[in-house]
Amino acid sequence: MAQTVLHKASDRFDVKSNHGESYFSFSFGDLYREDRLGFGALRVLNDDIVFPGQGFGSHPHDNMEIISIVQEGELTHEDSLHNEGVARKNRLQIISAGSGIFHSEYNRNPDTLCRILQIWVYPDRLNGSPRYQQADYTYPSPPDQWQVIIEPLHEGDSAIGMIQQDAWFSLGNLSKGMQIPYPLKKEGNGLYVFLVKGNISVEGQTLTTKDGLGISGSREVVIQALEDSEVLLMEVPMVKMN
Amino acid sequence: MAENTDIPTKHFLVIGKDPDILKTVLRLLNDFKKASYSAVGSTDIEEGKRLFDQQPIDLVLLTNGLDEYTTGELRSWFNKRKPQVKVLQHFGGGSGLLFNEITYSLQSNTTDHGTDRFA
Repeated sequence: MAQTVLHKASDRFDVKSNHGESYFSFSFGDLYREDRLGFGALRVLNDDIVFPGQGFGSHPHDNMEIISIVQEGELTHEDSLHNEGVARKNRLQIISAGSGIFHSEYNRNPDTLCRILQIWVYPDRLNGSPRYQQADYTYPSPPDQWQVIIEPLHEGDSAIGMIQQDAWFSLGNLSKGMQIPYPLKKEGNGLYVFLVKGNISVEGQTLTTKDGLGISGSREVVIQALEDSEVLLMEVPMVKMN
Repeated sequence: MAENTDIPTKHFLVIGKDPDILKTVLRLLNDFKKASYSAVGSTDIEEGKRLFDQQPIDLVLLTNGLDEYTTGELRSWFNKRKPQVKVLQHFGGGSGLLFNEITYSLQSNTTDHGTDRFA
């Protein structure tokens, strides 16, 4: 029997600062709710707006898989491994922080906003080798199918984003009226459905833009588009880390 | 360090191998404004053990670079010396999850957090 947990967009943490604005689906920074400590290995889902010319100076990370999916604008990355890169709407960025890495990220454009989904997934081991990757994908996604954009590192297709965890992320560009099944790739994994844009029905729940729904105990989930919709699926192990 | 006279200061020991990350974590804890935290730390495990014995510690944070065997050994060692002290695996390396992990740990009844997955 599937279990679900619904996180409405309006119930996210809303944070404003000089360099931008963020909406946290889960507890982050010094904002804390015990019922919002992630979904399995998925720990952070931040919907960040970075103002023109603003960003985050050099800061450390370790033991975390950090995926940045740009929704608007560009994000420039530099790190202590001497990687440089620009993530944009059809090019995601992955940092496997492993034993430790420092990085900075900025919206270098003086005129336009950068809007990104920043997603943190616990790794399946401690202190791996730090790693940076950019991976291109098709945007908009081909209609009415799932485009895999993240897969486990051990599956080894360098054309796709890879992380140190048995997790798969997929994007869907669903047409109104379509019902598209998603068969989970690994038994025991859960699925977190984040609606980037639109209106869908999943497991008897109606989601509107930026709502999230966690589903566990199911081998297949069917997404029904009530309007043309953009969907991000995050399949993750249901480990409890805290 | 932000001293709050109403709530007792919580004392942390941080152990991690990267000196720059350790420095960042210590700064974040000692500068935290919403609670009274005091943190010491070391990149050297034996020095960390000495600090644990010599100073009042409420919570130990294990950070980057400690392999799984060392992490397990440290947890056992701390638990034998002062079983009431909580031992926490810190993930993420900076401010993102640090205060969430501490809040969760201080509010819960168990003493080990976040390391069982890798034991």
